Amino acid sequence: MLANLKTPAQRHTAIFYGLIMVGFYFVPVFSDNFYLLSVFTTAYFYIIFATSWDVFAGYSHLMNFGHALFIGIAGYLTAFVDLHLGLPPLLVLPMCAVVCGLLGMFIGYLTLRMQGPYFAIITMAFAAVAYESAIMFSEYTGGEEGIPGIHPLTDSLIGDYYFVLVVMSLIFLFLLWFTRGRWGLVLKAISQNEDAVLASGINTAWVKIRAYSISGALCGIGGSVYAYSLTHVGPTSMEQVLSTTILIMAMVGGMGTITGPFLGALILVLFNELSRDMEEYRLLIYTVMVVVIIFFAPRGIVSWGQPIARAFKLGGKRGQAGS
Amino acid sequence: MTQARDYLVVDELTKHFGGLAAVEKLSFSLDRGQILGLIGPNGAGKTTVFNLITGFLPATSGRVTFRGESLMGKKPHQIVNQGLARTFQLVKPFPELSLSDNIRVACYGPRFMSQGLDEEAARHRILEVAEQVGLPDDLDQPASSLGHGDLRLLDIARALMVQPELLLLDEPLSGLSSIETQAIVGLIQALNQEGITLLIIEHKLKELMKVADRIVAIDFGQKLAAGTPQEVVNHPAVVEAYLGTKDSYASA
Amino acid sequence: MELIQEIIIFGTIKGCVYALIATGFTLIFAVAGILNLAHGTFYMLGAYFTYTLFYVLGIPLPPAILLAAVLVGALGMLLDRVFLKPMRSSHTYVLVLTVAVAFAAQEIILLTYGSQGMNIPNLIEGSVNLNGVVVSWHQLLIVAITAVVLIMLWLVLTRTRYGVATLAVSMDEDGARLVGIETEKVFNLSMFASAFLAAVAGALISPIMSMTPEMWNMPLMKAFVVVVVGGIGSLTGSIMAAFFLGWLETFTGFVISPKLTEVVSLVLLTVFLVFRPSGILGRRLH
Repeated sequence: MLANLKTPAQRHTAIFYGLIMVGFYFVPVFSDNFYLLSVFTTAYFYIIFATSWDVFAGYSHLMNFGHALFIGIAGYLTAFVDLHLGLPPLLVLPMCAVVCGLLGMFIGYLTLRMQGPYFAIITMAFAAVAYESAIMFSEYTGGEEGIPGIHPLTDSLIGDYYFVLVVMSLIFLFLLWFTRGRWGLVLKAISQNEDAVLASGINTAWVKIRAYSISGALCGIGGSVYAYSLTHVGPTSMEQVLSTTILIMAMVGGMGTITGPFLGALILVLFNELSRDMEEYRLLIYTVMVVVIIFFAPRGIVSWGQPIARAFKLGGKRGQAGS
Repeated sequence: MTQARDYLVVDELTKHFGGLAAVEKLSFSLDRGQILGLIGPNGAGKTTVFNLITGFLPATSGRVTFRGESLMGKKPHQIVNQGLARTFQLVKPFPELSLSDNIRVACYGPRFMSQGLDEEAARHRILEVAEQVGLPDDLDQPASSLGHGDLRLLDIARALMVQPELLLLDEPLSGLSSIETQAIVGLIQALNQEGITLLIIEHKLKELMKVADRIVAIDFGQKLAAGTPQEVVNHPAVVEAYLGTKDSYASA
Repeated sequence: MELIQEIIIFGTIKGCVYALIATGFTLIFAVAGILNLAHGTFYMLGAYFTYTLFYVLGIPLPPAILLAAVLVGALGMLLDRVFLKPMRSSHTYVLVLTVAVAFAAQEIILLTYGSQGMNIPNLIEGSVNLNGVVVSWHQLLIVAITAVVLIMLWLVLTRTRYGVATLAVSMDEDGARLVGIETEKVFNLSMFASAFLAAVAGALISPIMSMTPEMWNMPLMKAFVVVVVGGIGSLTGSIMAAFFLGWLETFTGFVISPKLTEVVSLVLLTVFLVFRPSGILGRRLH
């Protein structure tokens, strides 16, 4: 990957995200405040959700409005396996990845022919079906209450913090590697002109299905860790608000960049937590801010990287910020 | 087995959209190494023929064979990987990708990948193709910064990247200046010299007659005439279709 | 027998509300290609505006509903002009922006009115016994108003200049532009009509269902189902599908289990999207 960092701008971007990641590892060194660590852990979860959303939806511009489906499915699976079979997390995580990956492949296959708005509606519908089912089949799922009592990942707060952080780091690095290579290029090309990609001899349907599958698998890992971390899973883990939040974070950060959803999730979670003093105005400010950012910067806040870098005389003339 | 004769055969190809016959029992064939021109008035069904051959549209009936193998029911990407590439009439490349990435996309199909070529080889080949078609030197600029003529070149470059044996060009000269037209005519001849067989839809008859070995004229999805360029343009039905208005209806 | 009557009557009332919601949703999708996720917000605002006009400003209910619907229609035009116009061609942008607007509107309503459920009174009090089925006058009025509104919409679309222009744009935008139709104006007026219809539905339902800041979710989901089942872009299809859904839901609730009514629409939605994406009728506005 380092070999790909040709321009100074790309090097500066890499240093920028590298420093943030290293900073995350040092947070517990400076503070073991329960609240602070849990805020950061929440941010890591949303980074996993938003970046895994991005690898399919952000690159292909097929708006996935039901990404939380994978979080919920993985969460319930984790609860069943943990409580009934007692398997360790290191076995459960790959299991969730496989199940959600296959689920993504299946949904991808069903929705192959659908364009923009149709795709948005069907993804919403699948998540809603799962949500209603979780409430309806309450003997297995605990209904609205969900399933409590999942065993924690580690026996300490700091242990959990590092577990989540390591999983997030690995997923983030994998996604960067995956999208900076040929798959990212082909997915981007498909979003701009699918016919020309077909005419280049590439099976676009398969490329999209594969990306959706990866998106689901990685989100499934995140959803499983999420359930362990809360020691609980419930229907709220796949409700529409969560899916929409993920997508808004990715859009605010900058779709189709992986780094954008990373920043979008981090900034919005931190803002949401730090603005608790504003009490009832908090969510109003949050939502209005989101509308304003999407309106003025539809390419997300990573599109500001280049002008900012130039203002500080960093970076070269060309080379996209965040890529 | 590659035979020289009947390299591409279109046999009674038919496409109906609802009750409308866009292409009706159209037959023609193309020999290896030839340049075949496909002409006809606007709406005659030329692009539909291209879409049927390349698998972008399913045919209602009829057959297309390439090197003796049927192409019917195959997906567009499978047909490309048999060595049959195309360009588009309305050129819409990948506007946000750089020129080199536009061409690079075609490296990731199985036809290129199966040769075990690495990134370095791909980069080399991209430069080669870009130079051959005459793209601007700066390959890092986004495709959206190109003018119409250069976009056509970019589309051809992308098609060449899959190393086609048969290349289908959909109105490669439309909307070009005379200098750009000359450049593409030269490119077509050069590609043919290299051994690429070409099927070209074109409106500019004068230029097409310079390069084409044979011409097929169609109107209302049916064949009007076929033969050498001279024979076809002097054919009464063709003259009528191009010059007449009401009368061409009667002949259809 | 009584059960069948009940299902038909209450299903029809439900269908009327769904038809009001979905025709506007279909209209703006067919005309401008906008899948408006803030459509439920118009429905919600219709209810809350009526509440304010009636209780706070003391305007009688019928003009209050009309005025509220006009105000919401104007907000729809504003949304279209300010936020959607610059990037209407990008589905991604339109989807995310309208859903963000919907969330922001929910917060504004929450801050202004609080989270407790509220109602407005019936247009006419009292009820009537229809052959053994007790129906409130208000519910019957919903049916009558829906009929009047839909007939008016049909007249506007077929008998006025803008209506015909709207149909033309929905069939072929570029062609319409070529013959001199101002597509921007058509988009804008369609947005007005779309928001107006949703607002009327919201105001009419509020005496029966409490209004809350989250009430925009339900109509949005129903609108999806109705337009998908009816065929995206088909007004007649939408109206047919609205009544079909109303009856099916009422049937499920009465005969099988009230718990399943919400699942019915979801199942319909998925089945149609996967197996018959063009809906009952085609894709055109007709």
